[in-house]
Amino acid sequence: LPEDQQAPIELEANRLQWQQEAGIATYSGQVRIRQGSLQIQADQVQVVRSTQGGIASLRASATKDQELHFQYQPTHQDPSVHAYAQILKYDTQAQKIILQGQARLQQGADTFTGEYIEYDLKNRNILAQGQKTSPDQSDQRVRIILHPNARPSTSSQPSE
Amino acid sequence: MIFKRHTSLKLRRTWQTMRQNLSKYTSSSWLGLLGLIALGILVWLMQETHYSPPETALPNAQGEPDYYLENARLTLFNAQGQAQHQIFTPKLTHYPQTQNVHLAQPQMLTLDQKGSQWQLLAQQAYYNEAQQDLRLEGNILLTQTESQLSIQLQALQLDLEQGLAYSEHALRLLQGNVWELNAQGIQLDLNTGNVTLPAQVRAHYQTAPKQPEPTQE
Repeated sequence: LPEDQQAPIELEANRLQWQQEAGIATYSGQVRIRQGSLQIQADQVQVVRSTQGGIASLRASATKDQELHFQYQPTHQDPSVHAYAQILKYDTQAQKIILQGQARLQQGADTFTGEYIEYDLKNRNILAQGQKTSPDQSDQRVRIILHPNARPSTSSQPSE
Repeated sequence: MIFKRHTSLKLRRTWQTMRQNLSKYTSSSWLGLLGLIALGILVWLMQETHYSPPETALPNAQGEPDYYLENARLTLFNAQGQAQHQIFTPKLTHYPQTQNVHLAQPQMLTLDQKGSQWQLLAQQAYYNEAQQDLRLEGNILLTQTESQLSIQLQALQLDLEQGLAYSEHALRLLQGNVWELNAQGIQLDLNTGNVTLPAQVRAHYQTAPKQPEPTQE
């Protein structure tokens, strides 16, 4: 939601390691982050502090058999966006998330899957990429399922 | 009878000679003598009252203390001879049986590798000579002004040689007026400022209020 960026950030975890010099805080063990409607659940989240002491960016990751979950609501009228992947990078300044590894992004009934998905929280552009696997295997292509009658006001450019 | 008349005559004569001698001294020498006597009394009084007994009884929870210091300032140096820790305490008491030193309301300054300063305050502390560690107890406050960091907890163990502080107690960590963390336990490297919170970490970050959009004139 537009007001999310002003909402306080709440983090919960089993453990925290903070390297003061580098300004990096690594939360691990059932990590939950919440800021307004934006939520992230992962096994480990590395938070890079900004010079003002806030969060400049974060990198969330899930263990092998788990996947991390990102959720957020663009506007009060739109359905929530849910994203799943092995790795998530969130640039708070650019308001952009990058999903890597079995990435999946859902908004309402529409779904995007691929190895790499970039999602812009401001203008809700989506860039999805497959992955070139070995020549004998079929490429892992991007798959998009759009439901015409529930088409969100999103523009997307699938690309190899 | 003759003997009696003879002694009284002798006494009268001695008293007259004393009076003749005394009349020779002027009044100023009498004042000098009185001044000396007064000075003597004053010095004697000062001797008696200079060292007042301790205000409160010495805590003897650790057996009988053998010595105590008041308003003591201790400096501990590292292997390179640099002052690493400075401790001030209004009362330090030594207990030979347990090899413990009790410090009341200790205030401690510790320098890290870059020379920035940690300040530690507590209600009391025990320094164990055998293990060379310091146990702080009661309303402990650690602050590092440079990074606007403060940590509050009730018990903390300090390895003075390694410059490591650790506790299993609940704590509250504040940074600036934007971050507040609560956790169970801490491991803090006073040399690097690196912190590990091993359990139940809850962090709250208060984002800065959005700057009002500049209105076009």
